[in-house]
This record gives sequence, C-alpha cells and structure tokens, in this order.
Amino acid sequence: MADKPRVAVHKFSSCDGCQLAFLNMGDTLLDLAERVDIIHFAEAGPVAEDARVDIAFIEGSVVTAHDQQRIRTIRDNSEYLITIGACATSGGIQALKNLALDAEHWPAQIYGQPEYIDSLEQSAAIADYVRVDFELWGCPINSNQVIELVNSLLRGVSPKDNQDKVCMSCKQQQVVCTLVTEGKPCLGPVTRTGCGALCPQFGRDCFGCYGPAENTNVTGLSRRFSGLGLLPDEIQRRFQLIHPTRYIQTTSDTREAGEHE
Amino acid sequence: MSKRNLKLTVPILARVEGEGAMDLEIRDSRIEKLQLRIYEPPRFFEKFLEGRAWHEIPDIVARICGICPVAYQVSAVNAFESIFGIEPDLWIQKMRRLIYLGEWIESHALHIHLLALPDFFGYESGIAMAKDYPAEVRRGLKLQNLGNEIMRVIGARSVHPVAIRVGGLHKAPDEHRLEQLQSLLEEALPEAEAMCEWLATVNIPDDPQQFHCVALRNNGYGVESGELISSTGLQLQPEQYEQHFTEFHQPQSTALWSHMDGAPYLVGPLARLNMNTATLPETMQPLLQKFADRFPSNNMFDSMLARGIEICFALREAITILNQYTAPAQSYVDVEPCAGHGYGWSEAPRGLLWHHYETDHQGIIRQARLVPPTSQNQARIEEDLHCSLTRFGLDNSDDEIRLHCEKVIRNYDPCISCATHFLKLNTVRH
Amino acid sequence: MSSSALNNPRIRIIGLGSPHGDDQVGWNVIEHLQQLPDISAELLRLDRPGPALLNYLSNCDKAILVDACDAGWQPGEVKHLTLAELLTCAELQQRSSHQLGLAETLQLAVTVDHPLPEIECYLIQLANLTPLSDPGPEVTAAAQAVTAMISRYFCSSVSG
Repeated sequence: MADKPRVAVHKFSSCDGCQLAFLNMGDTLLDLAERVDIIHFAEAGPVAEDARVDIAFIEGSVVTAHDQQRIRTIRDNSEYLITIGACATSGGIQALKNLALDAEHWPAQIYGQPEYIDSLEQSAAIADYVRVDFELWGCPINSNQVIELVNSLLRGVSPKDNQDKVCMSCKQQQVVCTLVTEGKPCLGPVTRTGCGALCPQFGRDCFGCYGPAENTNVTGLSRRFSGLGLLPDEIQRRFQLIHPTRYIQTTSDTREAGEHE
Repeated sequence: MSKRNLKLTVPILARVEGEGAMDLEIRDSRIEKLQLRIYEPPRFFEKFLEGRAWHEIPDIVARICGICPVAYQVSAVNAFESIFGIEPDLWIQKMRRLIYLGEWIESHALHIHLLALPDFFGYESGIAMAKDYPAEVRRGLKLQNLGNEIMRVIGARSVHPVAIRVGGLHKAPDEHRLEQLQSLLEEALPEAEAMCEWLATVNIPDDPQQFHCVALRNNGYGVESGELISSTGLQLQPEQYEQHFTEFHQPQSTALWSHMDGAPYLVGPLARLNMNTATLPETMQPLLQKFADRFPSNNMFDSMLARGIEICFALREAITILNQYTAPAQSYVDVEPCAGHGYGWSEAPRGLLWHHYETDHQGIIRQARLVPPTSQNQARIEEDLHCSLTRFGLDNSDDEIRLHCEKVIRNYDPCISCATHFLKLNTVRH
Repeated sequence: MSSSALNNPRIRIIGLGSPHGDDQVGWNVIEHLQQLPDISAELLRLDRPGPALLNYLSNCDKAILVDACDAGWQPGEVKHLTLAELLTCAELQQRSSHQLGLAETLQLAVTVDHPLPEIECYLIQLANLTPLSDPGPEVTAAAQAVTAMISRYFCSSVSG
C-alpha cells in the first residue's frame, strides 16, 4: 500500500477497556503508529470524528438517538468497519437493561432530573444499525486480537474468525476441565475461544466474556447445570451476564431446560 | 482596554477517558459560564445489579471501567465481606494490595505519558511526542506494561482480571511467575525514580488554590482499604460516608456530583500524597527529599509529579510484598450469604471509590450505590476552572485559553465512563 | 504410483505461514516461484490451516511443503526433510501452542492411516515473530535459497 491506511477508533457506550487493547500494547503501539495513520482516537489525542478513513474500530454499544446518527455517519465515512468488544458486538453488559421490564423508569430512579438524560430503552449492538465488516469478540478483547487483525489487513490476508469453543483452548493447554472434575457451571462449551482459557487456569469456571461460539447447545448445557444443582433462576443468570441477549433469546429457554430434570 | 468576549467549543475533549465536553462563555471579560459537561450516556449499573447474586458482582462492576476494574472489584468485595462478616487474612490483604498497585502503576504511567505530558511539550499525542522523546515515552510504556504484568500474574489479565472474589482470590498465583515479577520490578525501580526527577523539571503553571483533601489511610498509604481522613479533620469508616458526603444531580450532566459537608473536595493522587506524605515508608524518603519543597501542594499541576511518586511507591511496596511472599493454605474462605447492608471503599488510581450494597438472605442484591472518584471531583474541577482561568487571564488567545482549561481538567485524570456508569466541552464566548 | 504418475507426477507446492514477521517466508517462496517459468506444479499459499492441510494433500502425487519453524536452529537455516525425517525430528514436535502444527498434522494423518502423497518439506528457522514486521534478512535469504533448490528440481526433471 503506497499510503498508510487511515485509522479511526470511536467510542460509544462502554467501559473503555477495549481501547486499552491499543493503548496497552507497549512499544508495539509505536510500531503500529508507524504502519497506519491514526486520524481519530480521542483518548490517545487525535480528534477528527467526521474524517474519512480506511479502517474504523468501534467500541461501545448504541444507547441514544445521537449514537444512532453517529454510527451511520461513521459507516458512510469508513471503508472497513470493525466492532471491538462485547458492547459493540452484542450490546454488552449494559444490555441487561433490555431484559428489565421497567427500564424506562430507571433514569428517574437514579438521576434526580432525568429530563436531561437522553437514553434509549435498549442497548444495541453496532450491527443492529449498520453493516459491520468484521467483529472482534471479547470482554475485553486483547492486544493480540488487534495486532492480528491489523496485520492481516495490512498484508491483504483475510482476517480469521475463530469460533472454536473454549474447551479447545483448555485441551490444547492441558488445563483440567472445571465442569467435569469440579462440577462448576462452566460456560466454556458454548463460548468462543480467544482469551486463552484464562478462567480455568485461574481456578474458576468460564463466565462467557468472549460470547457465544457457533453451533452452541445451550439447552444441553442448561440441563447439565441443573444436574449440578443450579436452580432455574441461577441458570438463567449464568447465561445472561456479559452478553445478556445472545446465549439465550428468552428467559423461558433455560427455565424449560431446567424444569426437565 | 476593550472587553474580552469569547464563545469557545470543545465538542470532544481529547486525552481524557470517556466522553466529555467543555462549555465556556466569556462576556465583557467575565466568565459567564464554565461547565464540564459529561454527555457519555449512563449505563445504569446500579439498577441492573439488583437481582444479581453476590458472587457475580466482581465481574459485573469491573465492567464499569476498563482502566480501574480492580478498584471496582476490591471496593465491592470489601462491602460484601462487611455484610457476611468475613475478615480477610493477611495473605488476602497483601494480594489485593499487590494487584491494586499494579493498576496504579498502569493507570498512572498511561496518564502521565499518553494523556498529560503532550500538553506540556506541545504535542497532539504521546505517540507524536515519542518521535522526539523516544526514551522518555518508551520508559513510560515500559512502566505501564509492568503494571499490567502484575495484574496478569495475579489476575490473568489487566482489563477485567478474574482472580478477585468475595472471601479472597480464586487461586493463588504461580510462585515462579511471582519471582520473575519481582526481578522485573526491582530492575525498573531506578528508571521510575529517574522518571520522577525528569517530571519535576517540567514547567508547570504556578496556580495555588484552596481545597479540601480526602484520602484513605491504612497504617500508611491506603490502597485496598483503610479509614477515611480529610484535611477538615474527618476520620470515618465506610458506613459513615453518607453522613458527610452527599450526591446530587447537576443539570446538563449525566454524572452525579458530590459535596463533603456542603463543599467541593479533592480525591486522587495529590489528595493522597498531601494527606499521607508522613506515612510513606523510609525507603521513599530519599526520593521525597528531592521534592520536599513541593509537597504538600495546593497546586493541582503538581498532580503529574504526584502520580510519578505514587508509581515509585507502588513499585517499592509491590517488591516488599513479593519479598515476604509465602503460599497460603487456601486462597479464599467460604461464604455464608446473609441479609444486610454493606459498605466498602478503596483508593482507585483516581481516588476514593465507595460502594454500598443491600442483600437479601440469599445474598441477592436488593440495592446498590456506587460513588466513583471522578464524580466526587466534579465540583472541585469546576471551581478550579473558574479560579485557574481567571488567574491565567482572559486576555490570552482562544487557543491558549482552551489549552489551559484542558490542562486543568487533565490534572484530575477524569474517568468519565466511571462517572457516568461520561464529558464534552462547548465554549461560548460573546 | 502408476506409470503415468511416475512420468507425469502431479506436484503441488504449498507455502505455509501467517502474516507475522518471519512466518511469512513460506508464502514468499511461493511468490518467487510464481515468477519463474518451468515450474510445472500447482502453487498454493495457506494461512495457518492446521489439520485442514490434509484436505490440500489429496489429488496429487507429490507435495512439497515450505514452512517457517522454530526448532532452535540458526536463524535462516534451511532443512530439507522427507516425511519420515520430519516426524522423527525431536525439535519439531509440539511447537505450536494454538493449533496443530505441520509435524503434528502429518503425524495425525499417519496415525489414522489417512492417505498421503509423497511429501518433502523445506523448513526455515525463523529469527523472530515480531508482530507487524516484514520478514527479516536471514529468512529472506533462506527463501531465495529454497526457491533455487525447488526450481533446480524442475529444471533437472525437464532436462532428464
């Protein structure tokens, strides 16, 4: 590529943790800045929200009418749009409000003068509003995912989307299975790999921060959890944490599975 | 002399965490309006914590902030342990302190080198500055990475670590990795001290102001727990917080504001250093002596050096903890949930972070209230902007005024995603 | 092999790699070979195929595989191995922590009696896998050497 690709990093409703996949790269951040032109990345310094770019990274979910407008403008200004992290790919943990029956009353309960809060009832993924070219799943994503992706794009190689389950990662690293040997309600069998199976290595079960893998058998896993002694509401909460609307579509999915035991 | 009129807009404040804007209106050489407007949409964490179980809370509240997830996790487990009657043993306290120090190092190094310094050297970003100051910026990135490495060794990753739980840690860290970590920290200490000496030479405005300071003390520097002390003479436990600190909603902001006994106050590195200088360990004295005339400081611009000093303190403290490390019999105690009210706090990199939870007999959350440091600093930031800009002088150019206001805001290292469980500047001059 | 295969073997040359630093060198060899006349073989570049490599070894009589490796040899060192030599080379076992590497994949095929063509490997010891960087001087020189070795095979076939 003769000119360096122009890159933007945009933030929507998020904790900012996925942007740290850039800022926590260490020296590699400076290498990256040599390979691309960072046109807009407010937290790092450059601000040019409406500039045309080759690659736009989007962190965060859509939660206001203004967000809806903004993401459409960004889509028009960007050749390649990539969502990074749970908030952008699935609405994030704040999508828990999508499941609440009374979320429209929440601003009044927390903020004394709620008329100043412009907030939609749902936290939505970016793909609900615009076409997305590639997704990096994770909560958070890690620096390797970003480097891998940027490198692939720079070299004209299709980025790889690995939808293997966390179980693959455990087996490859010879980590003992928490579900089988410890009877913990591990979401690994239905969750994307990418984190490197961190939780099983650190003494706990997977809680699904990388989101659902392909071809998941949530019903089967719910029955297993029920067999381990989890009650229906506990099972439901297990699947509705980081990606509240993606593992199960309705609250009755797991309830039914639990009740079959 | 003609009167100064200015309407200045900074729609997106750069080099702060989160989404903020600034509004400035100057009419006839008087500041009519100077507002730090947080427009980042609220995410309503306090509402969707209701109905969740106690053991899910560390993973949920971490996601309030990507730069200070450990702070949220520790404040939360402190609160729950107070409800369930759990006293963490020395090993657990030390490990929480250690991973927390990693977060301080990471957050402060990032702020100093990528967010604050560019202002003082005339660059748009730390990346741009690195071309002319490669050694200094790379040193900063190295320290930042060391902070992350501490969190990786204890908690698997630095953003949303997975080790902290009510009752302790899920698993004791790998001892070999702890040894390697100790070597890395020892090797980096001289570089951190060199960084402080360099930071002390950076030209900063002379901008003394009056303000109250609030910090935790824990037989020394409060990090993962402690009692609250203030420059107004308060000495409080977490359950007494609401007796002196009140939150209220300012118009045109999605963050709640905070007053201590009716007045603005400061939390964060400068407040901590001002309140705790005498309690720093002996080994810190040689370094502190070099800046003896600067602390305690009533100039917010000394915050950058304060962060540097805290990085050195954090490194030394981490080395001490690692030096004395022995493996525990168990890494956590079992929890018997019960109904009750729990209060817990800790010192996030940006300052005091207080949590309050109410649980039912199964340990399910009925109510939650979380007060982050940035919203506590909001009133102080606005007071500061007025004083500082008046002293700086409205006769300066629009750009100089804008930059000065941005520097003032960046002194506080605002974390807007926390404050909005977010800020935008629109300045209007007539 | 049938007699026609002996006379006109279907040859496939596969460059294995990934977009990272020296790991691109397998692809570089294919790119060089594409510039040469008289390479009567099918040329293919694969990005970290893992066990799927086996799918690309069917319908040919001979496969020449080119890959970077980290076997502790000298940076840029080239080894030309038969399948048997590859499978018994201690330094090449279990090198990949993320997926099945070349040696493991071929070992898997042999273990389950999956039919394989005749296989030759050219392995190049990498110097580093620095993200975002181009291949370094040692492996770049090695890529040219491997290209020459492979093209000599085809020239001698033509003349012999």
